[in-house]
Amino acid sequence: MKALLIQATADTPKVHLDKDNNIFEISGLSLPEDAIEFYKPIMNWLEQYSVEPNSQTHFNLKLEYFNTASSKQIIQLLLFLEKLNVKSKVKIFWHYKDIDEDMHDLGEEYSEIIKVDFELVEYT
Amino acid sequence: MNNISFSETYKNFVASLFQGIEKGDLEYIFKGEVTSTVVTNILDLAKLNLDDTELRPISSRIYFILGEGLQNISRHQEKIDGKTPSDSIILISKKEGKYTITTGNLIKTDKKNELEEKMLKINSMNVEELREFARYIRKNYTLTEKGGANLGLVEMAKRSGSQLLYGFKDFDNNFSFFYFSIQLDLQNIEIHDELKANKASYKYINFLKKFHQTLSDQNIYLIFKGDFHQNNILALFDILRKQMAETVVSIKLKNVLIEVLQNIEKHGDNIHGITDWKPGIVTIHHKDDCFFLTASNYIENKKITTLKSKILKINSLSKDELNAHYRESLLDFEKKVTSKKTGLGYIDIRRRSGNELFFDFIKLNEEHSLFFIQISIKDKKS
Repeated sequence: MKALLIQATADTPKVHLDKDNNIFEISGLSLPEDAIEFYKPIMNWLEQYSVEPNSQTHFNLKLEYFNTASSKQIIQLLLFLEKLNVKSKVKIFWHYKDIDEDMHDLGEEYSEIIKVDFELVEYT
Repeated sequence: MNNISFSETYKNFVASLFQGIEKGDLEYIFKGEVTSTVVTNILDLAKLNLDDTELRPISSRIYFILGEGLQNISRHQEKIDGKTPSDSIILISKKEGKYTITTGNLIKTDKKNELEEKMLKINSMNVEELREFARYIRKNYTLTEKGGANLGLVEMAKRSGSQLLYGFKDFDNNFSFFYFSIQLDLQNIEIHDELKANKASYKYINFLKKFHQTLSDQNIYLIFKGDFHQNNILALFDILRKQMAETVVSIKLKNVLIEVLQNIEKHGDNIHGITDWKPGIVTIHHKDDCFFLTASNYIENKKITTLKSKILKINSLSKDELNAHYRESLLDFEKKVTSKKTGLGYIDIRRRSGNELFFDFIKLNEEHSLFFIQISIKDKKS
């Protein structure tokens, strides 16, 4: 399966989804005007991936900031990963900067909503 | 029903700044420590707001003057006890076809006379003499001395074709504020042999002194008035990101800024019914151990009732209720969710702030009002 690699822009994050190398990562800023449009190819890729996923899917979210429009897409992505957990052992790594209370709290909150292995990872 | 009211004085101050905005207008005011990073960011913001097609023939001249004017401040501001004062100001405005760049920074009072003499000398020259003078400085001074000889000032006068406007104000026994302003008339760009007298004159400098005082009294760091579109919002976000040391509070402030400004971008109206023009104003100030972000934009009167009840509802919720409401809206995929309407904006802002959202309206006419929103974030350091 072809990897999905999207470079970061001033208002969208870097996306690296690679089945062969077991890399699943979204990092940077996510504040696009049209969040639905931006997350569409990501959801499509995951949809295809879910047909025959790896035995384990470790998904890394390392977002510096995301706007509310993006949060709606991110929660959909997480809900999708929750479903995927039946076929592939899913674990979500939610990275947050040590002094970013908001990002930490959002991670905690989302981990309560999504019933899969969820780890908060602090970085400096 | 009464609105939760925030300081009438501050509201009126913001309203007075916002009044009479027209398409293409831009006003950016910054008070703080001017570093080269700040200068670069402000330049980027200013460039974003130059209408390329209209200005291409003179854009290189504008960039030069903007850059030179701004660098002037970061190069020449005096340090007090080894620290760069946080009271320098930069004002950039584009209004009625005129681009004005104004700076204010501290200098040693004993340098005042020397500086004034240089200004007078430059202002007395015609363009040809300035050209000669610039050539002379380039030839006879080393790179570091050129700054001292004020090559920048000579070039600015030459390239703008206008006299330099300046003024001084006492700060303490040793230091004075030096104000400097240069104006470009975008509709009348030919350079004549004689420098154009600066018509804005000393009235403007007097206004500036008072305005600077207001900014200092109110502890205002930043004012941006103009068109809120994604590029401007990103530029402002970047300025805040690079200017403020990263703290719990500054991160919150940046996050709230994005959400508030994208709100204006999505929902703002304008009084001329022009599509795709979202004028607004945003200010950041600090008072009583709190940072305040205040924004204002036009709103159609018919939308007021809905907006009012929405914010009042969000304000009335306890922390737990607010979180429940957030979760409900986040997971609500039934309602028609567009990229513009998530129903999460104010809930998110209130959660990040931890405080009630202050808001108000000023009715302008039968169709439109000004909508104000103020978000406070407690400064945890204090």
